Amino acid sequence: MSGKDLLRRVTPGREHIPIIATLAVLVLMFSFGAIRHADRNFASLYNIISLFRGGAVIGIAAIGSTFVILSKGIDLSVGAVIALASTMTAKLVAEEIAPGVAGPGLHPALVLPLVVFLGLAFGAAQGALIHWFALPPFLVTLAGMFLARGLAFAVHPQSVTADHPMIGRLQDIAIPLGDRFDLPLIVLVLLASFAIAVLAARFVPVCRDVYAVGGDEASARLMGVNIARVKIGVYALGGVMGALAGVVATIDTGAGSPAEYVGYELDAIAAVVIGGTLLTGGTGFVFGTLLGMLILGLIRLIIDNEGTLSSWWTNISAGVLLFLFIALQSLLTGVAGKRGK
Amino acid sequence: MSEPVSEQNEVLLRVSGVVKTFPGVRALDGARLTLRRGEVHALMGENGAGKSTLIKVLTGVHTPDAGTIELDGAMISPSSPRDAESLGVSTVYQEVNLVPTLSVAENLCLGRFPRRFGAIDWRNAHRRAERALFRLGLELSVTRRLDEHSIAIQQMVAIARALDSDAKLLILDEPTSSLDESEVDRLLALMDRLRSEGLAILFVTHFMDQVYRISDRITVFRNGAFVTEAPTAELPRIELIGRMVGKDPEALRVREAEVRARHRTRAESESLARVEGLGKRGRVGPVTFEIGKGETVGLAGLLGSGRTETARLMFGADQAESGSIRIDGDARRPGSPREAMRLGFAMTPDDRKAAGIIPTLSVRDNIVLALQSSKGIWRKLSGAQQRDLADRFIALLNIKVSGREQAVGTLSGGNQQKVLLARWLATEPRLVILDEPTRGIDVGAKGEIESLILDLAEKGVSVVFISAELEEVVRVSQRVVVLRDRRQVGILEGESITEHAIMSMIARDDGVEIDHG
Amino acid sequence: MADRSEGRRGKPVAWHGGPVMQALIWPVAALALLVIFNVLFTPGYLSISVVEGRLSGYLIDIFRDGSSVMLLAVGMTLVIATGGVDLSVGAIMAIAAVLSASMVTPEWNEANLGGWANAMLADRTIAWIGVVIAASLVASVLAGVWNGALVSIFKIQPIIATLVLMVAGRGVAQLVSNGRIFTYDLPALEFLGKGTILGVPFSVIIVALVAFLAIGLTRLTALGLMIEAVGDNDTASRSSGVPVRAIRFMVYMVSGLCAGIAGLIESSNVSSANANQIGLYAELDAIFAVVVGGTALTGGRFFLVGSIVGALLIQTLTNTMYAQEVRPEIALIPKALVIVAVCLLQSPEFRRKAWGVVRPGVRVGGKA
Repeated sequence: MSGKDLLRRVTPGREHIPIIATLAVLVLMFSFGAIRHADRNFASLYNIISLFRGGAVIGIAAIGSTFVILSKGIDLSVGAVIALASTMTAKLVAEEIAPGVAGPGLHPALVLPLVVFLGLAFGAAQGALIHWFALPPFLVTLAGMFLARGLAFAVHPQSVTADHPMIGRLQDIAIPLGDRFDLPLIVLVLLASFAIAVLAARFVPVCRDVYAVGGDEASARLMGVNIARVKIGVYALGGVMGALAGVVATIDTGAGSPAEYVGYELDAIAAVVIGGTLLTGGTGFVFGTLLGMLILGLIRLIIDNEGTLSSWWTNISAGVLLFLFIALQSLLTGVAGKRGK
Repeated sequence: MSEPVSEQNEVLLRVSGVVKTFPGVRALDGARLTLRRGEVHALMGENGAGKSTLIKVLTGVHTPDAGTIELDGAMISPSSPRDAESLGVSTVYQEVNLVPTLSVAENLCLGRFPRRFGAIDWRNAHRRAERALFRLGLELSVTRRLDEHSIAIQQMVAIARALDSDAKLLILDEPTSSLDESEVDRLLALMDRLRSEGLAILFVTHFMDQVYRISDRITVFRNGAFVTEAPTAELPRIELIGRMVGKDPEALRVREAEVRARHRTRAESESLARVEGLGKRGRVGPVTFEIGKGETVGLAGLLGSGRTETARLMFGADQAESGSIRIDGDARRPGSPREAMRLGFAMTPDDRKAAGIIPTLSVRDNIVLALQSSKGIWRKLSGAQQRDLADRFIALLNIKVSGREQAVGTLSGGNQQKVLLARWLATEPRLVILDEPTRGIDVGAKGEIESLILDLAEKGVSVVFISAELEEVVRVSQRVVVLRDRRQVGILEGESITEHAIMSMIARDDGVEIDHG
Repeated sequence: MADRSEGRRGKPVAWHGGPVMQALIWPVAALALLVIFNVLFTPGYLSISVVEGRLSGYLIDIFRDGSSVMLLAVGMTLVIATGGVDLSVGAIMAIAAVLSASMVTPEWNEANLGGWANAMLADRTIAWIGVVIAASLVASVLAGVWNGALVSIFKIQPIIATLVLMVAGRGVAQLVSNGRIFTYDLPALEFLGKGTILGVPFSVIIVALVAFLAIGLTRLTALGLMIEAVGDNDTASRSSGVPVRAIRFMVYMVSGLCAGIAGLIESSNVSSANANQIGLYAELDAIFAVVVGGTALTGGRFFLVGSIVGALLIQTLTNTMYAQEVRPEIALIPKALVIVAVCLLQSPEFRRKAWGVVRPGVRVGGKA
């Protein structure tokens, strides 16, 4: 490889600007926290692990949202799907639902795949409605949000403890990191999911089809892309990742709750957008979503450390960041539009 | 006229007797086309000639009602663009049909990625992309996004993709419309190179110069039917234009002497406005002409010559970058249709569907819209006023509707056009710009619209009239601005306005003298 | 209905108001079905009685409980008619609710406005409540201005533009109240949600006023025509001189205002404001009401009366399930199914495909 060629490969293109901005924001925020709260040991390994652990549920779900958004869609059902999956998982494995009331007590090895499969079916059904009947994605998935939330309450009206010995054993799985800390299962699932998704996005042909459909659906169709497979596929993946997030959340917390995870779809979308993926479809990186998730976590961590700031600043900061990235995007696509035409 | 045409070149494609009808329209009526290996064949024709329908038949978008397509000695009937591609017919459209957000390499490999163990083999993909582009004499970073490259490069990437599937026939549909001159040169050089490799190229364009620079043979269609096929070298420009617009220039010269007497020159007529050097880069060069009160100014030129662009700049639908319109003693440059309306301008656009009618609203709503806009939101025309207005124009323009509450989208093209006219006449404008008001409507309605223009002139309303039908332009105009390749090439006035004169002006590069006598 | 029977006789009748009737047929029929179901299964469903000087009964409940959905539906109709959508109405409701509840809490006033506010709250309660209401509504309109600016000036897709406020809005509401849930005991403010005039719930009167105002403003001025023109074909509208940008801007402001009023009513109903609860999922109810009412999500012709009927339909559905003792959370399930079903019925794509399925013989023969 010649020097010029190498240079060309490492020079960022315009599509990299958002993710570079994301990385810059992440580094700046972390440095800010580390300097300002040096006395509280902000930059500790503990904090870093907790960033991953705290963001895991959103992060896993956001992988699905990333592909949906790359295809120029949107999935608002994610939070409710997480709640449905967690409630189902907990209820199905529980040997005792309430004091003296026996539960199904099914083995997690059976329940976990089942729940994930149901997530797949749920997502695929949404995708089918969107693709075949040309219904707007936001409407279908908003109805999906209602449906999943209602089903979660139908499964069990309150929080239910995943009372099964196997759950306890799953909770104990962890990779030790030094002698004081370890990576719990939920973080391992998060990292593994991202590793797989990042590689798939790059190396699996159908994932490139997702980018193509998001970039220009009409052209993609002319170029021979199977649009139905892509569109139904991304929502199915959204369902799978939502269900997976619900499952690991249940394992991590030992309980499932139909009333939890409200608004997680918005956090997931925020993570995706802050991670540099364009809401207009076709441009973005799965890895960026991980960074987006970390930024959302950092906001929370800094606000916690500030002490004087309250938790709702998290929402507001997320909204502000979301706005800034959307503005950046519309600026970039505006420039692209001028250059293209 | 680059190379001598070798008549003996093997025939690659033979289209004969192709008929395609759509509800109410016979888009192709016995279309005929013969392409040989190693030739660039230009397909020419005005609006409605059937060029795009033929392309769609060749690429499998439409199935013909009758006729045969023979490729390389075998009968084919492509069922989809993919199918056509696999048969060896690849197409590159004016609007680049690639995904702008993907890299160049991906655009070349989408749907046929080289794989290793099921995963995309990027090194191989990049190599393949580089090779495909190298064949076209292009060296560029294939990992860059497509939209980081100019339209010309994107166009060539599209060609590379088309060729990558072992194309025998390459259809280029208006490929140069959005290219600047140096980019055009590059594309033509590429076509030359591909021709020498034995590829057959069907070149659909409205740029005369390019046709004469590159093509070996020309086929002309008019109204869905085959008109002529001739070697480019043997078909002078004036002849070509005559065939395209359906006139024999020699015969016209004689007949027009009689018609000319009808033209009234309004030398005495007061000036309403003067368009001074109005232009926008990439759209249309500076245009300058005078519009008298009650005068009709025709903008003549072939499709893509800049006539629509001029109209849009005048009405502020696009922003002019230079020049102005001198009116009421001021130099104005309308920044939006609202501003133009305040000057007393009105415009019916050429693209009736996209830019004209509001399809689900009623005829009445559509008619009152512009007048209402100029009055503002709060001063609503009363129900009675609206009904009167609608009924008056329905009667005046003879609009065929079941009632004034019928949705405009359900009307025929001619009636939609009349509704648009009514919308603007209701504002009582000083200047009406009519962009192709007669396109795609039946003969009766055409006549009515023409006589309406004459009526307007009687009442002192000025008109800027655009039509692909030179005959119409000649009939109604007292002044004609002739455009070619997005530039003004001349102005004809009064007596000198003849179809022949216009065609000569358009064809001037061919060396034909402009003949006023 | 008269139009229909005349049409059946085969006379070419001019359909005055025809589209309105057509748009109303489905939601009215569905509403009628629901009411019939209730009459059969809920004793005394249709009876309206006067209890302590106020009208009471299942039907009255529907109107009273449905007032905020109806209000949102009015604003949402205009937004959707321009081809947009406003996902932030729930969050705007929360902002207005929390601001109003905060401004009648002495402690909050002390900290944020100073003593004068409390003095006014104590001495001239009614006037102060006027100020409170005005402030809440101004805040909601400002939220609408934000949305409108993003959509019309920065040309961001409406879903995305309003998503920002959907994400951040509840945070803003909590910022106002400092995260606290204020409860109040102020009859004058509670009157909004709980009061009655001549037995009629005041909230229903507000809805009627807003609806009449909206219908009047859109139909007595050229606003309605222009909104429809923008939603149907914005290029053509622009070249006909319609102030497209201003129209877009305005509908989001109106939607914000309607959401603000709805938020005030909701919170005064419970005499408190929980930023996380007020208007939760309200946006979907509103969008649903609009779609059911005959306004297409793609924009164009709009039917305010249809949207109101749609809102009543969804509220009747909710109340029916309460009457059948379905838990509110579970009630989401049938609601979601009905929404999807209605949207499918309105989708041209579905109609086309369903038609193909219903009469396969016709199509298959033609295609082969």
